[in-house]
Amino acid sequence: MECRDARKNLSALLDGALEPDAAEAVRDHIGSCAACAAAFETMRAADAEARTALRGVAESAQPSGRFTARVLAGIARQGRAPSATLWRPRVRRLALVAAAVVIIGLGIWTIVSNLPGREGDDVTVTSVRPAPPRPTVLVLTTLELPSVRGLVEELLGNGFPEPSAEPEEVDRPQLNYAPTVVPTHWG
Amino acid sequence: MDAAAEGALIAAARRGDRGAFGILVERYRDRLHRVALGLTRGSADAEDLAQEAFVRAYGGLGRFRGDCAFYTWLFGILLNVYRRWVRRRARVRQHVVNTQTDAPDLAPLPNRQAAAKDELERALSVIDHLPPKLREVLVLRHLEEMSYVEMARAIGCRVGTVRSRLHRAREQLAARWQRVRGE
Repeated sequence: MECRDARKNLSALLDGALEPDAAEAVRDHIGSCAACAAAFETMRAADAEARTALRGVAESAQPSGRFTARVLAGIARQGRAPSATLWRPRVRRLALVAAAVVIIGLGIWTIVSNLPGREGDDVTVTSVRPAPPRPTVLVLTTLELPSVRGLVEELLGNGFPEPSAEPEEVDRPQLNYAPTVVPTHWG
Repeated sequence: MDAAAEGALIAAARRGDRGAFGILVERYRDRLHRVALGLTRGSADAEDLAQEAFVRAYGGLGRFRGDCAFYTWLFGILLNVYRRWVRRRARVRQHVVNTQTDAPDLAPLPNRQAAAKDELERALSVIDHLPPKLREVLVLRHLEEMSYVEMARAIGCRVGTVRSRLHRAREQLAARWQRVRGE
């Protein structure tokens, strides 16, 4: 065993937390290496002193006689039964799952909508125009979730805007940069 | 109190029986208080921390699944309360750093021989320099004699992390201990 390996195991050796074979190997190394033996002795002494100090501090005071009463008063002030917390982790998990679905959906939609046309597609330069609108509801319709769509429609109360097959053309003045090339099968 | 009796008390407390929870508090308050004292270096806040841990434990009983000992779960809550206390103190210290020393609160120690007291102070000053995460494992190991597995459950990390933190804590202790001795 090398010094580096032995040093990594000194703490576990102190706790008796090494497997018997590993402990024996470390002990053998310490027996033959003065530097590692000194390091082990220093660690052992420092640790023993720390343990004594911590126990001294821990015994320096006792909990007050009103400890339990104060805890129960704190619980009463909180005014919440433990059973009331049972549903919270579930709701939190559900909210996390819902958030994850929305984020993943947005990610997929963003990637898919930005894919270039396939090789061999007819491509023509049409005009310079702004990117089509990408409202969040479009993600939901893209994911084809009728129940979600119905819910959103109900919440909005005014129906659900259909995404237009062709983005709206916008007349623009002469521009100095190159026009965007878009596949003709857009949408 | 055996495990079944404790389980019955936990179940009753879950249903809102504060008396049952009071019995659990009586059972574990000394241990939690001792660990709080060790973590805070005997601060007067130790009792508040232990009490807050119990109050939070009651509110979170619904999350106790019984996959570890109840006291291990309690110590996990205490560690969370302690970490918040450390952050709060750090914020407060930023405001008073120019007017006070950085020494932590010291509860009056019992009367001891001067030399022994000096020795204790010196050891505590060495421990003070440990970051909270390293101090936690040292305190749980020395005051509760917890196994690596129990510490991992209380802290909410892997056994390997506990082992590594304990190793780093002892390395830092040894290095500082040598420097202090050499002075």
